Amino acid sequence: MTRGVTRGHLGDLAAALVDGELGHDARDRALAHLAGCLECRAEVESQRRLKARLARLVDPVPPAELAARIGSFASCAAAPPGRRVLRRGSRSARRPARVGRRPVRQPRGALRLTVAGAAGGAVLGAVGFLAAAPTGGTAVPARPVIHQINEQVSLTTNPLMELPEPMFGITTVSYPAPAGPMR
Amino acid sequence: MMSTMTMLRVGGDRVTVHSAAVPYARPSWDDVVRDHGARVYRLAFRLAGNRPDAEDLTQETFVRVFRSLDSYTPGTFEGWLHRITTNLFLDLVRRRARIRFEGLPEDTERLVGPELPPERIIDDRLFDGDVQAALDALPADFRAAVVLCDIEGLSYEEIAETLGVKLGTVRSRIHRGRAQLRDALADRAPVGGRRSG
Repeated sequence: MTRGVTRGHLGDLAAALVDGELGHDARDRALAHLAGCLECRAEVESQRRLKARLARLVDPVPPAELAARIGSFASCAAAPPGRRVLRRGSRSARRPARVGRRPVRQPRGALRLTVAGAAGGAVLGAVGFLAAAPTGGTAVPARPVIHQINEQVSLTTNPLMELPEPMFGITTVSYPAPAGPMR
Repeated sequence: MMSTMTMLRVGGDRVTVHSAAVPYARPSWDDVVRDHGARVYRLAFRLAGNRPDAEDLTQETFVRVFRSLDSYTPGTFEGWLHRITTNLFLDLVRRRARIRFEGLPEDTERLVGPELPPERIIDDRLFDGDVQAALDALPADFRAAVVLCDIEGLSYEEIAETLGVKLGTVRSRIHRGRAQLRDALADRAPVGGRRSG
């Protein structure tokens, strides 16, 4: 599968060389080839420059309101993650849903949570980036704890913040955690 | 570690129920967001190429993480985040391609493009604009491989796992992706200066 130097040029081994992904012997062969091949030397050099240029890109800074929105999930959820069932997404999350058959949209950013099993449980965490929000120990309400959040989310545009609706209508794929019994 | 968890079946759906005791120290949500938020956003931004999609991708990634945080095991978090973000991005690209083919669905507001004030759009353009524009021009699979390698610093093996492809495919995509990037940047080089909106 590895096209070697024997074909005349490095081919995509040039990328592997630049990325330090060649084994010892392959690397030796590649370097030996470079010594006598201007074309491959130029290729490797240009890939190195490009890689360095990409590495120099300035990291984009996430907007503060995004961090606040994400940080507030814990306060909105009102129950540990394992308890929650997304009203709209729970079934379709495991089944391919067709684009054209989606139910009427709720306003963006307003996915509602249905608490499955209303038995007690602590409100998870506090508002993320915003303030030292009190961590509630109250019984699980059927709806997010709006009044509790209201005091903390003054920075955000929508004080009635709830867990956001899945974007792009991507409800067809679930991404299991690396290990553990949940899918 | 999930010893207190019970599975039930309700109407064909699997429902997970936990007892009150939490058997291991789950990182607080604040910690998760603080430790990983900027990195997820960076990856999302480089993949999507614009701020609104990057914000959506980032938020959606954390929604998935939040739902599955119970099954988090230490040491795999970064890889997990890479996988979620990248696959959400690829889903988005495929979905938009399908929508273009099949016609518009009801949620067309996602297709009208960024709703940003002009000054923010200009900011985005000036922000390593040439490189980002060249990245945007790459096929999504190539872009993902190059970004994961050169910006996120993943090994070929990690990229292969993230994308669900073989090592040779990773190498080939990076090689060809870089070649296309180089061409795109070379095309831009003589023009120079700033482009209007």
